[in-house]
Amino acid sequence: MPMIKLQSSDGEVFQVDFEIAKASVTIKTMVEDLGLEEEDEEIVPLPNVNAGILKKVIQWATYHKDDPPPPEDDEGREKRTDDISSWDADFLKVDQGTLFELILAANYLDIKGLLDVTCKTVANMIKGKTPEEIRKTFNIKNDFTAAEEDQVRKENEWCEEK
Amino acid sequence: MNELPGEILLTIFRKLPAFDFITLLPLVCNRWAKLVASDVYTLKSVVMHHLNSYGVFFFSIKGEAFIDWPSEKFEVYLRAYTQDPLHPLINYCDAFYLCTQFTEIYKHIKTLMISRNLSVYPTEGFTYIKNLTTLVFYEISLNEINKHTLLELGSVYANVNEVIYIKCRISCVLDLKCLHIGFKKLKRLRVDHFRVCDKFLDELLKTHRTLESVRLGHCTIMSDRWIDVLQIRLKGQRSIASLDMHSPYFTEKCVKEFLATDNFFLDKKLLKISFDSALYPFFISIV
Repeated sequence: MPMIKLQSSDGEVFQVDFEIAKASVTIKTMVEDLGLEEEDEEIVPLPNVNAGILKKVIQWATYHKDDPPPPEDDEGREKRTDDISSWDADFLKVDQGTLFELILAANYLDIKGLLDVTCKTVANMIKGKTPEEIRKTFNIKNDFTAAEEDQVRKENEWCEEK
Repeated sequence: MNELPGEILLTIFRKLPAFDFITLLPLVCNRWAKLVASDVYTLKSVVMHHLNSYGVFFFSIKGEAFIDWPSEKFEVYLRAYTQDPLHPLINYCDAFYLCTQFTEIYKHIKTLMISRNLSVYPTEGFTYIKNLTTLVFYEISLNEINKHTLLELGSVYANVNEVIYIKCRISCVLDLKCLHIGFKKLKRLRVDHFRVCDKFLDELLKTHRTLESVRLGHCTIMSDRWIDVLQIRLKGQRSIASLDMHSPYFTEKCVKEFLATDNFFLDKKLLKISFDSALYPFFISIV
């Protein structure tokens, strides 16, 4: 079985089945562009992903290796965030920092399925909350000016009564 | 979270319902407000829906196809949403506030549904909806005092080419011309009301030379006069692409003569004239 070596930003090298690594469009393109062959010992550097996150990404891609290709974006498609599989839900029971790093890694490595499920997880953390609760959940500074905030609070009353 | 790049935040935001996207996210912080306002991709898929006098509702359309749905489906859609407790109404002022804050929204609103009370509808608040093409009046009362508002709507929303009246109460003293005369670019009209008659059709075809389709429902075609109107107003000027008329009062002689003329039919297979009653007794498509 052809293998590929991936090097994380902190220097750790992971040997991965090429079929699994191909879940990443970025890696697939790099391999093609570099003209790497099965027997090549060349290491593919991934300077934007650290070892901890790369390990998680490989774990996700391994579990999903037999999944059909994700559908193309379709504006008309119903937006759902409640269709996360139980395996993915368990896999994404991580702290916020790790979740956001996984999003960044999925985006950099161009793994549509992983990006989709991680973004849905964050969207579910937003759903049903008031603006203040969202700020608190994600430690976001309320940077509206005092006047703006008054206005926002006044205008926002209906929203907070939801 | 705010350390994530804007494009990734938008990818997350787009997973949320349109209602949350427009009404909730911009209230979190300045950056989120700016991101939402800049997201033409998503705003393009949003229409504004006036559910009752003061209620305004945003929702996401399932592709452009929604706009082309048969008009009666608005009704079904409306019913489905009003029974959905997960989609709260926001009042008119709040919606207006949001529209003024995020002017991008204005540019993409294509359909506006107004219901119940036309007099509380301050058109000055919506002069920015320059791309509005469809106006739906749902369950509103129309009487003499609304005459000017209807005309004003036609001039404020100058690009409206489709006007639909569903379950409206129309006063017996209101000149039915008001339902269409203000909309200078009218292409498609649907009116469901028992007061609609051959005189209304005559006036409509005389006023709007670029009409593409007319659907008239909940009325009765009382005589051959409707056929006469079509002959007079279309002959030599327009062609009938399809026609569906129902009346127990048509005479065989008149129908036969009408069908025998070759002056304005594109394809006679698409003509249907029945000697019976129907909920929608009149539909015409003209080219």
